[in-house]
Amino acid sequence: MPFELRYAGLDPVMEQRFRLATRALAAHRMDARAAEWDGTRCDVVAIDPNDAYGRRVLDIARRRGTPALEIGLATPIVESGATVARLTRALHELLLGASRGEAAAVEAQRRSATANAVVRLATDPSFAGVDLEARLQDLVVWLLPQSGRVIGATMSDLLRAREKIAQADWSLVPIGGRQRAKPPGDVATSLDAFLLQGAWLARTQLPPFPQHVVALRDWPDLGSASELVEALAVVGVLQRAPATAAEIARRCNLPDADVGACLWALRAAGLLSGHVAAPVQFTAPPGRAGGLIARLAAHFGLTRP
Amino acid sequence: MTQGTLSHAGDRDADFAIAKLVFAGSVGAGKTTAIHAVTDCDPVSTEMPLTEGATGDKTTTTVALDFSTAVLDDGTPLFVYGLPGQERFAHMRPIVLEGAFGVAIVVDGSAADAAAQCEYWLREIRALRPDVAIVIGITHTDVAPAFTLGPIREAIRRNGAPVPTFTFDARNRAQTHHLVRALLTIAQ
Repeated sequence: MPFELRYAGLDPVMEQRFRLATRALAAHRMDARAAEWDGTRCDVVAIDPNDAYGRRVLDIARRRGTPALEIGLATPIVESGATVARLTRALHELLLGASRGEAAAVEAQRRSATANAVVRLATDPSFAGVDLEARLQDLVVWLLPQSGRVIGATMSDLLRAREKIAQADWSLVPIGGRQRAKPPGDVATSLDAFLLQGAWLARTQLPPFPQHVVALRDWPDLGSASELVEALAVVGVLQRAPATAAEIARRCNLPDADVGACLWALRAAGLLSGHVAAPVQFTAPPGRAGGLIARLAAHFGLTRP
Repeated sequence: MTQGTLSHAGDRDADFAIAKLVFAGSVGAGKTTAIHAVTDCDPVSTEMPLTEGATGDKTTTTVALDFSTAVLDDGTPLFVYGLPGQERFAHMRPIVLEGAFGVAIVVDGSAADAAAQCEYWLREIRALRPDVAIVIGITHTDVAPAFTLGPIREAIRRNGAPVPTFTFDARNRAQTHHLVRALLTIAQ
């Protein structure tokens, strides 16, 4: 598609030069066409800032983020008597910058759509309960929510995958019937712990968990996530009653990001049911039972100083 | 702290003089190893050579019970017992369970009937101590690539309120401690 260039407030001579410069962009392998400003979206607008109409168009262009080529005595951008060659060069630079910016925006959009496998698993209903092959370059693991396991070729692969599962750009593809006969390996570990540990590593980068009430469907398998006492506290609150992320954070006295990471991981593992109609009101402040249980909790590292 | 009386878990907030934790489960699941991981000394076990079904390193089994201890920070003793897995010692279970604040059921995840074992032990413990806190620890999943948690979760759901269910390595102190933490989480 050709670049759409517009002009406003230029004198007839400069208008002609601008049109010629537009055609001269072909020398840079750029297809562009010029027309008078009509208020529609365009790739670049050329204006004379010394002209009232030009200034008005410049304001609109700035609001829209449209690159503007300012041509006039009072502006250092392009001098009023600029030659066609000078205009062509200026247009080329502007359009090159615009296409770079557009490419970057497209790439950012693509990345945000594919990055962070944990959030995708948690939010994309087509992944719910589906066994998936997760691939990141040469790294392949199978995420098996039906069996609660993650499978990789080696323990090293599983550890690498865990480190990146909530950070990198993974491809997630359902595992087909024939494919099941050829798993990536036979090293398996808990899917719940895998997702939780991965989300925990990226907890500062994860989006805030939505503030609706969630309930725990099953106890997550956290046996191999023994370093995450915080996750046990989060699950401990949820196993008593449904709650929002904010309520859990308050009851556990944990930062929102920590609770969010746990909830994203639990949802990605298919262990949370959400959108419970009535939020549960917690009346009692968080606190530990006294006596023996509190002493045992301290002994086994459940309570941290 | 001289008194030695033990109360049921209904009194769990009372100021106990002794804490009692029980590991239950089938033969060969790893109860003795788990007890070793959470206590300060080697368990006193009544180990006897297996007369049948000896596989790999498992050449002995616990008859009667295991016993070991740890000491909490304030000096309170923690008594840790292992229930005998064999049916012929089933009569000892209510005796050992008396006064325990919680029970960790240990199940061999590489066994084909792991879900059935979970169900059996859940029913057994709940029949003897309906109010006691229970967790399930599944061992040997590292040698069972085909292990799946789904049937076990279904079996647990069939038997009342969900209980924490972890895959863990009984030789790993941190993981075994984590299983006990889960028990304490629901006991609080």
